[in-house]
Amino acid sequence: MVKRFYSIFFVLLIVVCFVGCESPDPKEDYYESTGFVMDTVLIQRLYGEQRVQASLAAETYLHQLDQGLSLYLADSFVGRINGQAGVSPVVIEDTDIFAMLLEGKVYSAYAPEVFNITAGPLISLWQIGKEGFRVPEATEITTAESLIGIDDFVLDETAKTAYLQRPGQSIDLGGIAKGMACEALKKIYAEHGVTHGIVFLGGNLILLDGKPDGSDFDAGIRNPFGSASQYFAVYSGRNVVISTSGGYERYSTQEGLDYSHVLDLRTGYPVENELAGVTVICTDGAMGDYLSTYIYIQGLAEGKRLLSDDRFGLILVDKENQVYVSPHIQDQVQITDKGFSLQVAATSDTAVKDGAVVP
Amino acid sequence: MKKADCFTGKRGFTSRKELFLFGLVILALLAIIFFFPREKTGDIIATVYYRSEEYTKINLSQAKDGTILKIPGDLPVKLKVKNHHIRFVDAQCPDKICEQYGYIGSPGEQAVCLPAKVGIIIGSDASDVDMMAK
Repeated sequence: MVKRFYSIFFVLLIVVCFVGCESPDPKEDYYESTGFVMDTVLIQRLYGEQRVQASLAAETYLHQLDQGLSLYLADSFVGRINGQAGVSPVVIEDTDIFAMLLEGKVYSAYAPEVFNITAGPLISLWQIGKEGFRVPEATEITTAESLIGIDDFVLDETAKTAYLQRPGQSIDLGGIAKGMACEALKKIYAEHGVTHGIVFLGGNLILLDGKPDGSDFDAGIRNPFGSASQYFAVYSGRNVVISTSGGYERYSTQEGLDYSHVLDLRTGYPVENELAGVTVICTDGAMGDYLSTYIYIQGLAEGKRLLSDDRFGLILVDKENQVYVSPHIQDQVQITDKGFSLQVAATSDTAVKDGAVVP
Repeated sequence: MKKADCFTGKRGFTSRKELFLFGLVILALLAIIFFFPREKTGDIIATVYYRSEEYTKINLSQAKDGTILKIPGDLPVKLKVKNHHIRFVDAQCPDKICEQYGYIGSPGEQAVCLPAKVGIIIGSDASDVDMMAK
């Protein structure tokens, strides 16, 4: 009888051990790390033999990039360029950063009244999302806008110098920096032989070549009217970078009014149009970042015009919860929130017009 | 009815003391199973990072109001829990941007104090997608 009781005792002990232990996680074949870089969150979920090394290399690279691009460090390249505006050119020893400045200037040249990396004076005037936020006076806005000028930003490719020609001018790469960083991360992963993985960098998603089992990644697309964890659609795919723009990302409030961090350079005020959110799916992260900002500022009509451009895919949401999706990616997009309705854009809306403003 | 031999001491347990001890052990095991707090699926978990390493996790669904977490370092940080949400308080950093996030508690929300190298990410087990673009 004692033996029976002790048998029962040990059975119970084993039961408690199983109850208290965590069940094995079937997703343990990837390595996931979380870091804080470039004033935002980096989450890397990577597969492959060198996944840990790749993850460390990527985070280290982004910290170095932040040191070079940060607006808040007087010693960063951007800090020095802005500090020497109207004084003297600054030598940019870092070839990656010089290349990024060049790329930012190229994108700014397409529609400088919409997207412009020399919009620093206006951005720093508004301070949206920061403690110093206040609604500026109209005269202050006019003064700040007078300092914006991409032609004043001179890059000498031989001397490797960068120079803003007038005092008070400043550059801000915020609209494109994460996209360019995504491209740099893709190279680091490739160098480490990491071909499968998904990475979150400040809202942008890098989808590498799917999962090891051959399946695509499922990326939730943020509901612009909901909380940070709510999505209204799912995009399934691989080998793309997903970039988004929307007023929900960062804003400040004064007297009950929300002011989006995305500024319309034509008015000097935060963007105000029919769009609630823009998602761009592109093989090039820098192009995706640029396009998401460009389209969000331009509005729904321009977004519809670009739906049929097969160099990238678009998911547009307007303030009436209507969704427009590029026809060539519609099979990969599923609307999961019944509060949103998928619209079909008329062919006339998507006719290509003269004067392309995208690369 | 004849009593079971184990209770009479004729066979089985040699004494009532042994039987009493065994009963205590069983009660202790049952207490562990039913009363030891375990994370339930769907609980909101705040993961706190310091210098990019996971520092601690706080179960916001179970944490008590007023819980203060202090993170030492060059710039000490305090996190406060209230109504299943968490926020930075008494920030020692120069710009206090971290305090402007306010209370966060929905899965996917984040708050960061870069000077102190502390970040909070709110997560949950429930997710039908691999990650979210925001």
